[in-house]
Amino acid sequence: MTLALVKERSNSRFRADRFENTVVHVIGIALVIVAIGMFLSAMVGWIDGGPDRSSDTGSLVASGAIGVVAGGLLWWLSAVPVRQSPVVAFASVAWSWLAVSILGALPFLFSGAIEWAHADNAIFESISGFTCTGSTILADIEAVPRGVLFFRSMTQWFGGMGLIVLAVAILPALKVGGLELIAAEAPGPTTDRLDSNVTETARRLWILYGSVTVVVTVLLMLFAGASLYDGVAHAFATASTGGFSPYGASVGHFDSVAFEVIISLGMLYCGASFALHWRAVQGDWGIYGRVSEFRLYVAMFFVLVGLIMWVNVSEPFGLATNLRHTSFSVAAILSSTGFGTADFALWGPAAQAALLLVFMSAGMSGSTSGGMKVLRLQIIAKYAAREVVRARHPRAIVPLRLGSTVVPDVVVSRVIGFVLLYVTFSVVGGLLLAALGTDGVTAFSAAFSATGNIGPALGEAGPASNFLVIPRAGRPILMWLMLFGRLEVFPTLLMFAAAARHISKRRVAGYASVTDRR
Amino acid sequence: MRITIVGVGEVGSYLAGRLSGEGHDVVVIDVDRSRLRQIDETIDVMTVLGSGSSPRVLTEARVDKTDLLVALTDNDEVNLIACMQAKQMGDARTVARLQSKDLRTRSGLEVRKAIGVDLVLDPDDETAEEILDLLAYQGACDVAEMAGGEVLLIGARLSETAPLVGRSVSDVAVEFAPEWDFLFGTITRDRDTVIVRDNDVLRAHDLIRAVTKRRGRADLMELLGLRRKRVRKVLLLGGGRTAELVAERLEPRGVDVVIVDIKEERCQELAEAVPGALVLQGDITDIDLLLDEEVGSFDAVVALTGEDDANILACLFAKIEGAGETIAVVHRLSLLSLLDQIGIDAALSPRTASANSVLRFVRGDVAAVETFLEGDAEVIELEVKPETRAVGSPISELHLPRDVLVGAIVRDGKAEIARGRSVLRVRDHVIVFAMPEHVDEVHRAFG
Amino acid sequence: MREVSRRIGDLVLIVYRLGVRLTRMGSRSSAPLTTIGVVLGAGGLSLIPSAALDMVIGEGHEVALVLVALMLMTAGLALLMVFRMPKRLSTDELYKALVSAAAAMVVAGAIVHIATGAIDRIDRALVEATAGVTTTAVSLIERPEDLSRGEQLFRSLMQWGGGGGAIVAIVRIFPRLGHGGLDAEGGVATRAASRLSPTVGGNLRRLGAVYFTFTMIVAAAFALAGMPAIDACLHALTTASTGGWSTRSGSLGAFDSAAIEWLATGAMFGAGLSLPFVFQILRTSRIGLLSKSVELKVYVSMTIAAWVLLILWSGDGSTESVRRSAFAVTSAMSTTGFLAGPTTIFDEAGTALLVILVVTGGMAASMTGGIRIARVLVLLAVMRRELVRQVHAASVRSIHIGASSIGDAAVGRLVGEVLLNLLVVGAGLGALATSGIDVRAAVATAASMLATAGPAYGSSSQSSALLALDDFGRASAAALMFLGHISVLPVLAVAAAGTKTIRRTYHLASRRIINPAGRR
Repeated sequence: MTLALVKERSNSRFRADRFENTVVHVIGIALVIVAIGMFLSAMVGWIDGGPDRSSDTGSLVASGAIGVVAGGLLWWLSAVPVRQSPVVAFASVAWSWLAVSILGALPFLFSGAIEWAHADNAIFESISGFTCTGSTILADIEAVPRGVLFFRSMTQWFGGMGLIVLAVAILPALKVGGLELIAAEAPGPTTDRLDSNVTETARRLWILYGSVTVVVTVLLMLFAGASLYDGVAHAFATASTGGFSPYGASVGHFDSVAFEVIISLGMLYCGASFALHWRAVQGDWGIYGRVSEFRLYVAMFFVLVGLIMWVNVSEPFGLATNLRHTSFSVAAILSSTGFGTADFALWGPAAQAALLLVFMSAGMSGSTSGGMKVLRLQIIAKYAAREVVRARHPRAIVPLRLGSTVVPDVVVSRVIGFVLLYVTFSVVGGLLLAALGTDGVTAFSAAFSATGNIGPALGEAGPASNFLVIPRAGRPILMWLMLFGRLEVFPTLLMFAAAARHISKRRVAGYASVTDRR
Repeated sequence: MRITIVGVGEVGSYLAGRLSGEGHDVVVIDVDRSRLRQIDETIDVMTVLGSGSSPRVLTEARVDKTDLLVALTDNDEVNLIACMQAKQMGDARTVARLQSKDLRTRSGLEVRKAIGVDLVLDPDDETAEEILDLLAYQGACDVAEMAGGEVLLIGARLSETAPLVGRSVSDVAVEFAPEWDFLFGTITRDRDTVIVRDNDVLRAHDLIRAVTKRRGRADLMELLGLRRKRVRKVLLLGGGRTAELVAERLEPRGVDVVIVDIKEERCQELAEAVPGALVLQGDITDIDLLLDEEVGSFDAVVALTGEDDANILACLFAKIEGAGETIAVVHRLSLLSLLDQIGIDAALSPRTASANSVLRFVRGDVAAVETFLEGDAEVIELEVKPETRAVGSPISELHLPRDVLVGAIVRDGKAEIARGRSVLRVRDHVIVFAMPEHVDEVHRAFG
Repeated sequence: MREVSRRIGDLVLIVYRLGVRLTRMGSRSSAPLTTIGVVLGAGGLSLIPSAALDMVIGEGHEVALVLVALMLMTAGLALLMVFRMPKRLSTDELYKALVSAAAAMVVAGAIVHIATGAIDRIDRALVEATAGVTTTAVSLIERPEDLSRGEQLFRSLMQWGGGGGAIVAIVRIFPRLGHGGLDAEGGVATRAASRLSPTVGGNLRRLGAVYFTFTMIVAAAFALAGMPAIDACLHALTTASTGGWSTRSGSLGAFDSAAIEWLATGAMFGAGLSLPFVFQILRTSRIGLLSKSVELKVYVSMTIAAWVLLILWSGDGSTESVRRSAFAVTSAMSTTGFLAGPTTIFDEAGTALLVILVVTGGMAASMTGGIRIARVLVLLAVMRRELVRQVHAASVRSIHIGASSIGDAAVGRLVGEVLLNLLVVGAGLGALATSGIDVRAAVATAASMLATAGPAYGSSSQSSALLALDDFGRASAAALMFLGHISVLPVLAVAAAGTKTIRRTYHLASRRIINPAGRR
């Protein structure tokens, strides 16, 4: 999103005297946008009028002011060089996500919802929001002022907004982890190159994204009797597959089948590719049937619901409750939303094992969901199957296909690289958490949940609990994993590389200017 | 008839030989000087050096006078341009070899009409069809469908255990009277082909050619001692266009297809073009590779690279290892008669298939012509024209030469095996075995 | 010493040649059945010393053992009389032979367990025998000390044979398939194994000698450290093969001797070294090779790092915790699975670390299971390459271990195999979780079984991991061990051939008679 705007701006005006730094520029824009969100939330808090209305609104306005000033300055002072290297693009995305998360932590601190002594918790909450993860460290959510809670849901919506453009347009164009395959079976509103028409793509996707939010809100209000506040807050978290709810019991708070069905459908819809949705909205409904990733996504949902219902038969609840809880939980995990109605951390080991495996895959590419994506699972499964054929026929030449399109080897190896990095970092994260004293299941499931941007984990950090159970030193690891998973692995690894390169380039530039003068 | 042939490669030179042998005036055009010189020395034709797409060259070859232009270069565009000019210069009939699928099929209909291509040839496609026919009748070395598929022409070598061995033709005829579903046409023994007479005794290793009604084919196969087994695994050695076409058509029928080609890029293309087939990169004469893939376990092995010796070697090896049926594509016709003796089940040449199509076209009203690789006999399908002496008289009273045998009569789409007393009517299709020297006489009798 | 090991090598070669001659007797050619014949015959032979031991000591099962031995040898000979090894094995037959050999070993082992009454149910006996053949240190027998000495010997020989089978696979099979296709300096990997000597027999002789000698040295060392002679021999057999079965229910910890534990630590570390590498060093006496092998360096540093971490995380600074940590680290990395005491003394992080070490395994071309270090290095290189490619799209980099480059085809195979293992672990995790243990135990058990280590970390004895499972869980565990020991690809390749036949039959049955060329 931000990149698109950057492009437009840099093309419209060019001031040579400004400090040329894409990263700083993008951060500035992102901060200003989030600050605007804060002012909106302040209005909501004021109108909603809780008992602590003044501190609520005050904290949001104050944070917003800081955001506007800081962001505005950075934006105004810096400029974007005409030529971009992918590394800088990666880095600016990663750094801006981080910067926004820090700004987003302020309302929690100003309003007193989180003490200043635990500022790291506020940042955790904010990162969890902007990465659409939905893991919370708030023990008593209802105690937080309503305006701040609204802002908390809004962080996810903002995250999703950036993400959707990132997922459909920018990362595929940068060929991150083989994501260019999104267009393999169904060319959607994707772009081949960053500078072609990202702005137009972004506008379309945002219209779709906004419409989904509105539809979910209206449905919740019409059929589930939700208030406007609840409707919008949950729609924010649903459309972005984030999973923050302004209630401690999450969606379980309403105990309404209609509410759960609407949210489930919303989550599944948003866990599927927005590129496909865009095509479908254009009138090409058959696209859903033609794309193998979508078929697999839907099949995974039903198979998992069936499997987990089967192993849950031994749990002390009836068939109807089983179906209700299982289907909701599977939808929540598969779409990486992470809303909770039942505490699946208490289910049997088989159900938990199945959910743990879903933690890694999650939704479709081109959606706001996290995880490795169904697409990559398809690729690695086919890659493995190809090796079986090659084991038997060492000379065989077997192209890897997705539907009827052949996937080039370069792309396959990108996917492999992605999967290896993803798994390695999650496992290392889990090991570190365990080293800090968390029990094994909680540690590893929390790590996978964070990398997959799911939200709740298993063990002690289940949907009914919060992430305070993770030791304080472990939470920065989770924050990093959330960013790592959210930005599809590579940008976060390259964000430091860009900084290093920037420095070295300066030095080279200095030498060059000296030689010029001679 | 004056015939111009553009492009005298494998098919072209064979065709030029055949046509000039039948007494037509043949002009050949080619860009390859040495090839032309070679043709000039061996065949009685006029040669013109140059590209078939050049008006100057075509004028030099007097295309305006020609009755038929056959464009056989491996370049679709050149062929089309040659045909177009032939139509404009002198309204000749035209035959073009087209490799592009788009041009050959319905999608290219408009273009072909606009340019004026009367007949489209594709040697690869025809070879592929022939291979598929051979696979359908395992053990047969010639298979052809005539009269729209109502009559089959099957050629096969008698195995030692075949029920026919040691019996005379009349003997067999008596056994199956009065309902005859098939008829023996020629016997090839020791490289001599003769038209069957009643008192001929069949021996093991005789090559028999017979026509059969569609429903009688199973009986005939059994009598010839051929196993009629379903083909499930096919190994295609050589991954050219023909192999691709064969694989494309076998694959949807649930046949496991394995293709071997030596070029890696070609393998990649093939693997992408034929999703179900297993494509291996390697040399087809690499014994290790063949053993590793268990060549003996295949129901059929088809060698269709451009190199005769490799094809023959690979087929021989496959046969020794126990492969079901081996089919070799051989380009040098002189080799064909050899193959049969060393145990390769069937051999075919891309040139004869295409040449047959052109011959049919040249002869006009003849619906189908089959010439055999090694034999001198021909099988001709023709339509009985009104006002010929054949109309209304029994076959026995036609006074055909001894070496002409009427095999089958197709009337209103229904096939009938010919008897001496069968009476012919107008527009009947007859299928005739004849030695080449009698072909003219046959034409006079029926059409 | 060198002379002795050469003699041993000659012995190995003579046995190998005898075996080869035996495989040429029959008339009908079939690779799997001939291999089964050889395996059954050898299994029968290996029972003879066991029976003799029982007879000498008394109160044993010598009658049952001799009967089973005769039965197995008769069956093996009968097969060898009828079937012969084809002169040239196709890839398919090679896989089938490999899989059926392992399966035959399992069945033979199960028969012995049933015959001596060590285990009463055939399905359990099969699981137990799978653990033996795959050199996994899990068992359904809670008190192995109650078994007769002969049975104990047979069990140890089974693991030793399973390890020996791995050598044959390393020398004879994997190089031909480019399996895991690594070739780095210092003979870390499989192709290096085939390069020791120009002939297969020569390779077998050399590696067999190393294996044999190593076993003898370990046995002598154990005996010197105060273990009873028979126990020393039996434990040496299961140490060299990284099997890990013990004659005591408390495993090596039952001897309660620091010297034995330190010795075992060293022996297990040695078992994780690459066999061809060890041979080269012994042969050339070039200690310099040690510093040249990147894989060795990583192996050593990983061992030390894990040791230090384990002491830091779970230890209390006592000499015992230092010793136990070293023991646990080498036991995990070599996927042997000996226990010096209950692993419950390690906290969550320590346990997780041990599971990760089990997955990593020892050096390539060693007796260990797991991914193996050389391949882990390649995986890391693959990740790094993709990171670089992300920045420089056009960059062309080949993957190196040390100085030697590894071809793309080999990398592809390796990655494919690792991915397959990941999928198998995922499936195994699901299956194990339904059979009565919690998620944590299921993860540990699945990883440990596939790497053929044995005890799921956190368990107190070698039998606890299997006893916690229900029948389905044990079957899944056995499947994981089997896949882990002879690696996933051959098994899947054989299975895939089977499913292809089924699919084709179905395909044909579901249509009417097809005329393969019935066009028009």
